[in-house]
Amino acid sequence: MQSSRRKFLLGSGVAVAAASAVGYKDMLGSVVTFSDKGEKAKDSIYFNSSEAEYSYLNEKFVPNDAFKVCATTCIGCTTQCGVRVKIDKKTDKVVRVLGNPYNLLSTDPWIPYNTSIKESYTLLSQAGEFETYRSNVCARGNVLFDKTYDQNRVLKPLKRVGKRGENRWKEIDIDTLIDEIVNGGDLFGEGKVKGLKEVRDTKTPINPEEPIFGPKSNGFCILGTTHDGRVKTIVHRLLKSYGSANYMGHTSICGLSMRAGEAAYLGNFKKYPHLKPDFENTEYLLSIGTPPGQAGNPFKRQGKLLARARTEKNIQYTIVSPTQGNSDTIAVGGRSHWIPIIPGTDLAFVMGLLQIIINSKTYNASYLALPSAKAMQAAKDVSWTNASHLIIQDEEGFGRILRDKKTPLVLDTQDMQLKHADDVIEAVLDYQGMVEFEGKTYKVRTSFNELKENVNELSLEEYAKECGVSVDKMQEVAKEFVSHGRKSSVDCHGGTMHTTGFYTTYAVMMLGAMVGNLNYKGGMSPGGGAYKDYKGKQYNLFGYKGKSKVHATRIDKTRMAYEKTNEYKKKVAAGKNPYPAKDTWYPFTNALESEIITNSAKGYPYKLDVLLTLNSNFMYGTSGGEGHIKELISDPKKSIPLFIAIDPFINESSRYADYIIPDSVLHETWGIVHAWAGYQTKINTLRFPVVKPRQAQFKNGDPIEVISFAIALGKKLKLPGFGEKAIKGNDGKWHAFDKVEDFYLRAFENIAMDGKPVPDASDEDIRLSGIESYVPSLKKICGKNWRKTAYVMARGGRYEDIDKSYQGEYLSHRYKKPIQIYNETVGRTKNALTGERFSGTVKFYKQRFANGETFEKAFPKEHFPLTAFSFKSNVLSTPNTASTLLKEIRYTTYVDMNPKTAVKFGLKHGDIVRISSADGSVEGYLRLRHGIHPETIGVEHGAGREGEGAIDLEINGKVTKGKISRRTGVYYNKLGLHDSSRNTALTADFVCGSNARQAIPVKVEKVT
Amino acid sequence: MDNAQHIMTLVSSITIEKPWGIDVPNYFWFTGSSAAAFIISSFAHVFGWKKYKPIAGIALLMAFVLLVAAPLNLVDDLKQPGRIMNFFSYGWENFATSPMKWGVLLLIAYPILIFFEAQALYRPYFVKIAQQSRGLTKMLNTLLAFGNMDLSEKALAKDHKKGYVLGAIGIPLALAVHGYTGYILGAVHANVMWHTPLMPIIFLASAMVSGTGLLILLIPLFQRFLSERKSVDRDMVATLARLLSWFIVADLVMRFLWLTFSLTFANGEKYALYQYFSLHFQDTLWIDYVLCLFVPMIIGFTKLRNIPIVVYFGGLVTAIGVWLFRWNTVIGGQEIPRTTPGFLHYTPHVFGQGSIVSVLSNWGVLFVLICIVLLVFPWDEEMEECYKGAENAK
Amino acid sequence: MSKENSRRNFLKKGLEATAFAMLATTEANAFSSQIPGRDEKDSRHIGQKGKHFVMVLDLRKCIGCQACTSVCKIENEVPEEQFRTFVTETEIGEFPDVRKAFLPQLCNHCDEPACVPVCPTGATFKREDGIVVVDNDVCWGCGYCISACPYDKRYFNKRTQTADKCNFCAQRVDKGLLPACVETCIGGARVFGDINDKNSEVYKLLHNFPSTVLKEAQGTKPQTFYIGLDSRVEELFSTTQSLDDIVKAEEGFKREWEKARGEVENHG
Ligand SMILES: Nc1nc2c(c(=O)[nH]1)N[C@H]1C(S)=C(S)[C@@H](COP(=O)(O)OP(=O)(O)OC[C@H]3O[C@@H](n4cnc5c(=O)[nH]c(N)nc54)[C@H](O)[C@@H]3O)O[C@H]1N2
Ligand SMILES: Nc1nc2c(c(=O)[nH]1)N[C@H]1C(S)=C(S)[C@@H](COP(=O)(O)OP(=O)(O)OC[C@H]3O[C@@H](n4cnc5c(=O)[nH]c(N)nc54)[C@H](O)[C@@H]3O)O[C@H]1N2
Ligand code: SF4
Ligand code: SF4
Ligand code: SF4
Ligand code: SF4
Ligand code: SF4
Ligand SMILES: [Mo]
Repeated sequence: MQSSRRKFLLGSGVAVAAASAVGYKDMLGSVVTFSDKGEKAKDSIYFNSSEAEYSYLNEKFVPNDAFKVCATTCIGCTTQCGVRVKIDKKTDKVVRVLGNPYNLLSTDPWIPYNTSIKESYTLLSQAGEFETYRSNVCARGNVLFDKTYDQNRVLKPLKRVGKRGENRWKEIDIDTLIDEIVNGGDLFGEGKVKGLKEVRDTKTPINPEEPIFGPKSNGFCILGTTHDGRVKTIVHRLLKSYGSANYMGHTSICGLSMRAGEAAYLGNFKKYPHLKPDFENTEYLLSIGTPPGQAGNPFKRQGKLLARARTEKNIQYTIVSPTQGNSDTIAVGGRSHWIPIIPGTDLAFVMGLLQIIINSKTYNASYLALPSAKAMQAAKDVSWTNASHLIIQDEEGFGRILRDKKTPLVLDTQDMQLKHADDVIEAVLDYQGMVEFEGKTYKVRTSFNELKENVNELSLEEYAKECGVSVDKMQEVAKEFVSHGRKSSVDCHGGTMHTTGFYTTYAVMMLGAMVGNLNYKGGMSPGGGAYKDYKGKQYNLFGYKGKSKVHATRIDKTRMAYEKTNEYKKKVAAGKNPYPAKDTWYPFTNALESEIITNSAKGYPYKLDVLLTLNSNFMYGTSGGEGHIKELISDPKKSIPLFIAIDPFINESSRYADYIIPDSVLHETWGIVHAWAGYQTKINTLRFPVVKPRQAQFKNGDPIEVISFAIALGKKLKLPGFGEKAIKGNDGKWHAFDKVEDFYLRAFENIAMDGKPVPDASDEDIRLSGIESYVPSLKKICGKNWRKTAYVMARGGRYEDIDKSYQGEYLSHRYKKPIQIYNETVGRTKNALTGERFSGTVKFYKQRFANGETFEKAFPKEHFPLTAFSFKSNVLSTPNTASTLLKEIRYTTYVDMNPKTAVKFGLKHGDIVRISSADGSVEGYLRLRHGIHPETIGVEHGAGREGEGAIDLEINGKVTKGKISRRTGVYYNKLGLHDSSRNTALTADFVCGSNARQAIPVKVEKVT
Repeated sequence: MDNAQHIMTLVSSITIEKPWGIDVPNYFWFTGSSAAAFIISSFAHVFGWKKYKPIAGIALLMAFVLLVAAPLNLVDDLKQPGRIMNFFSYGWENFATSPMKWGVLLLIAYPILIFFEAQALYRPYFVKIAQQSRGLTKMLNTLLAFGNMDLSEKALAKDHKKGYVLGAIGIPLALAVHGYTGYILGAVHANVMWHTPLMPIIFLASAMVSGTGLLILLIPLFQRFLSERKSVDRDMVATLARLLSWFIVADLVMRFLWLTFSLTFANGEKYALYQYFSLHFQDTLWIDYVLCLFVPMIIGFTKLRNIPIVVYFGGLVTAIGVWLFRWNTVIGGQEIPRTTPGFLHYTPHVFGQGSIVSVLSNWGVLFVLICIVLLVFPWDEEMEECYKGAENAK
Repeated sequence: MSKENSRRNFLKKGLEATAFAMLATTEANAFSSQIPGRDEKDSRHIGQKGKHFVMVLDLRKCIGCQACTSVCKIENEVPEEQFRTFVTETEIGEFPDVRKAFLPQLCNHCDEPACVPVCPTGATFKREDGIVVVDNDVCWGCGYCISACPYDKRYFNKRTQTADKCNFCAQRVDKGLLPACVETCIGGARVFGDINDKNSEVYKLLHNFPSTVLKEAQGTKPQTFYIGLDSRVEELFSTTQSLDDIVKAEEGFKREWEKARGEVENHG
């Protein structure tokens, strides 16, 4: 070869060799040095798993000293299960979450309360009774503790820089923050802002024309979320001390239709009790708009009980919902049924069922004829109704139940005489006519008679046409339902969050009355209650000197009738038709979160000065929040002059706040929670910090969070009930309220001492439950009862034993008041806009605005051919957006549509589509599935976020980028409608005012 | 979205990542092409087909370099390349059942064998060079001649015999080395696309195609630019083109058998293959089959083979086509889900292990090795002598 | 790895290599065919003699809640976007005759595992109690086992760079506890135990109810049994692309995530 060519080969060879070596450097590096790639696993076989927290081999129990396992509460969703967390002592970080086997929300059957902590572990081992006592945690609860360490967590108090909503903040000292919100001033260079001190005027009326609205101090409003174990403390010890009536939780965006409808059925608008099926023992479950296993309260428990019932017991169940949900599985064959329904039309379906049952007389007549508790006892029954009570039909006293003083009067079937209900065993059920009492004749009808007339208002065919479920299907369901008698049950919840949800719920519950399932094993249960916690044997923690009794009208216009206002009285006095009022009123509703921003904006009933939100996300959670509330909240002049949020994260709502106060997360928090429903025995679940809270502290060492903030604020405002001599023992001794534990350890003591006090915790109990660090405080605060309090803490709460669930075929904890076939309160209330009376019993209505105009008319099918609804994710839930791990399991959410519908609109699986209502629109990827009603569009709720790390956040000039995984998905509530029949308001149930998130008329188009 | 027979809609699932990346199709291509080059060299060395004599030496050298470079792909595909020793220390209990285990032994034996064969072929030349030179060159060539400076008839005949024997052993070994790569895949009963006993043969058939294609590109290049001839043997190009066409025929037959069986007569899992091919129908048909197989086949079987540039084009597309086929088989086969729904989408990284850069580096290594053998082995003299010998014989 | 360590490692491996070279020339039998842990009868490698662990998935009880999926990630620190178990959620049938079908999947701990015999380093093997494990100190990351598993139940652990999969939570099982997914299973669908024990729940279930395994034709003899499995669900693999994958790619999540991974090592 020529040498030039040789040189060429040599040269290029060397050059390429060098390049290749560089290209291969990763591989060569390891090969040449024999070195490993990646991280070394903790163990060659066990990989990176953490060591077991204990071992139990050959009957030898050996705890692992590297960890502590503490009982606390998960608040990954409103179920609030008792869990145990395994904490690495070295890092003080949670490494795993386990179910708490004492707690019925995680376990069923749960272990006897007096089981030692050691045994509670060994029972859950291979050698124990694992299959019996398996205790669990759901997809969220297992991973979401990672949000504790999220980059976007707020650790120091923040004050906004720039305009509201820009998400730009600077950190400020907590004392400065309190000083600013108390004293007010020109805080943002936008003019003077009233501070809490100035607002706290408990004398001057907030509206001089309406003294009934109460004093100016009502200008301070607190908005919360669920009862996370601290809410009552805030209401009783901060708000009442301050002098405001304005606390709202999230019920109006959660399940208020259900709560109000059931409160009407149960005749208790004070406590708002509600019922749940006895899932495990029921033979037939008709669940309308709340598929167990998909979501619901209690999520895990009902999922577990349903799974067991359909596998080991005899249940048949029917889910009525536009989409099927995870209640079903093909593995159980014919036990499970699905009735697809168009959202917002189930009232027609249920009215159809009631009509069939009533007209075929397959209801439990003798049960319904029991007119009183006495009759019930005589008949050895466990519940009774007012079906036979007589409702006055005369103009005077219309809608009132005919009574002698307090005792209702009924017609005795024996002799057709009018008698005290207490004296009658069997009353006439179906009557309409005249009766004479104390010399006066009354035109009356029985509750049942009115019900019967109402259910027959439309023909079965007409009901079928409304809801799209065939008459045959209704016949089939009605027949099946009554055939199981008292072991038939009903349920409803989120599916009733539309404009006729109140009556829908009432009607669903009414089905139960037809078979008389209340308080029966396998029927309906009001829940098992709880041990006395705040007002208990040792202390009344809600009582203190100077607590104000606030008589005021709430900003949300609830608990108050329009007819009591001067506005009404003046119009009447002037001889004018008092209707319509300036806006709706909700006399028997508890609270309406979804109304406060709009009400304050329109100044009706008055304007708020300061809004304090506690972990609330009214913007994301409210249907129509983005579309209608955003505008009002982003300008301090429009609705809320001073907006303070307590939240560990900056969400879609607190983003508009003026100040953000950090809060503790999950396992760092104090509190006491209960179970909502769906359980039969007493339960109190405790929360206390089991890992050190990460956020900044007050000077006394308490981390900044809701309660410690309340203490600091109370002291600064010199409110009664804080500091020295603020907590009074039933022994007459006074104690200081300076730290959060001053309050909660006493509440725990109350629980421990309620009824028959619990035993003393052993040293072993204390050690094995990781509460050693609390012993000094326990000794100091609980004195001689410290071991009893420790006993409760070691078990994460106090729980009645499972054998107390039933007494024979009845529930042990029963609902005592009569079922309201006719609810007098409702029947005597008028729609403030139209002056129309609400129906005192169930009645069919179409989706409508507050004044009665129907959606059908306002949103014609040609323009809005489909009906949208949302359903809760079985994996996601809204407070957990900051959990990165959870997003790995459910990355995103879609616009769900039936393939048939997609063909009609020329759409394909995976297309990006825009759904629009008359008032908003949202885009998302289309997912086709057969398990959805063809006339609908469904969205899994919980993604498409614009807060909690989804958008850029600037603190002290440093920007943290928003994450795609948090933004992805469909923000359904952007579709929310505005109620055109009202001034500045969102569509809501026309009776109770619950925010209408379901049944929104929409159209769909492809985004190109 | 619908399943083949039942309406099944997917609500939630995950897609599993698969282990083998871009290195692996490249590795298969290298071993395959090596085997092909070896076999072509054996046409002359073992079967004594004179026509191939002039290129047999260079083909053998190419077989050698391809196979030296090839295993680097494997090592690079390892997640723990630093643990190569573990392969030798442990795992012998799986010797019989893990083609990877015995395959690696083949991988070691085969290049050694080629080296010895080449040494036998070139020894006389090394001796000559050693005799004519001094210093380093002398030393090197003496070393390459293994110190055996005997140029007697007897010694040459012995060389010849040795070359013949090694070549004869080499043929099955070459087939095995590449066959085993097909075996590795074919043995995986989990993979619907791979699992066929034909796989080693399919791989061999396509290997012959790519190897021939590669020689069609390289030999003219060497002849024109690096050898004393300075011109391309156009007859040889045409011969190789024709050979290529026959190999393509064989390849097509194998693929026909494979696909018709697995798509028609396989069990229920064939539906996944349907899905795969319906997703990839267009690109597979037009690129793999029409452009990279039919076109070159026609070139070789028609007068077009006499136009070198057309043949080069044919060689190039077959070489690329077979690479794509390796890709489609290795990566495509892994795309198919097994118990979860959803086809995987694999895109290689640009840098790091198992990346595009890795593959480029491997080609770089090949280039370097070619440079080395071209520098060290007196291939052009040998080639010239073959041509001369051929002319003398006329 | 610290520099110190890598140097030591280098020396060690270097010695090994020389030793190997020497041995190879003398006597091939000098190596045991097995990896050290098995030779040394390390309990993690041998497992619990006399027992044979299996899992029963009673699909009648599965509510598709993914609690198992999620706890597994935590318990085993499974890296980002990787899973040892997952529950596929599908709908079968055409509106309105639609049924939900859930398929919880994990390693089947096959009696004739496809993954084990192909392993060229012997890093993966079946313990005497039936649990199929991987020794991540030995695995050289060739991926053959991953390719070989007919159930797609193996993956390369992104962090350790070795083959990984469900190991029935051996770290718990060996301490007398239960696998994390079993502990947390909401519906009680996951039942775990020793099939050799006639009193065990798994024994009772398998003897009282008909059960099936996935892809029986693969001949792997899975030891994860399903009650109430609809055969149609097994054909999941022939459904197409998962929408999540498309969306992740289109939205740029993959890129964001990989970047984030580069930036923060720490998870949870
Ligand atoms: N379309 C549609 N809308 C809905 C629903 C729906 O199904 N569909 N569901 C409705 C229902 S039922 C409800 S209950 C509401 C819920 O709505 P909200 O109760 O208003 O809000 P959440 O989003 O649950 O969470 C409140 C905030 O708590 C904070 N947080 C999260 N984790 C922690 C923690 O560990 N500690 C503390 N202190 N704070 C934390 C977060 O910032 C979070 O935003 O939404 C309702 N909105
Ligand atoms: N997994 C999980 N569990 C949870 C939560 C969670 O986020 N995730 N959140 C907890 C909370 S805060 C609550 S309030 C409960 C709520 O629990 P649910 O009430 O069970 O949940 P929602 O999704 O609000 O209820 C709506 C259901 O009704 C259906 N639906 C929608 N519109 C209609 C309609 O017009 N008619 C009928 N018949 N059905 C309709 C939807 O398909 C959906 O399945 O769940 C709690 N448990
Ligand atoms: S159901 Fe809710 S509270 Fe219970 S573990 Fe799951 S997320 Fe936590
Ligand atoms: S399921 Fe796969 S990984 Fe598990 S033992 Fe069977 S073949 Fe091996
Ligand atoms: S990846 Fe590891 S365990 Fe799997 S076959 Fe290769 S060496 Fe064995
Ligand atoms: S047994 Fe353990 S490793 Fe296996 S799937 Fe369950 S949790 Fe994951
Ligand atoms: S935890 Fe149990 S019920 Fe939930 S998806 Fe997993 S196997 Fe099914
Ligand atoms: Mo809720």
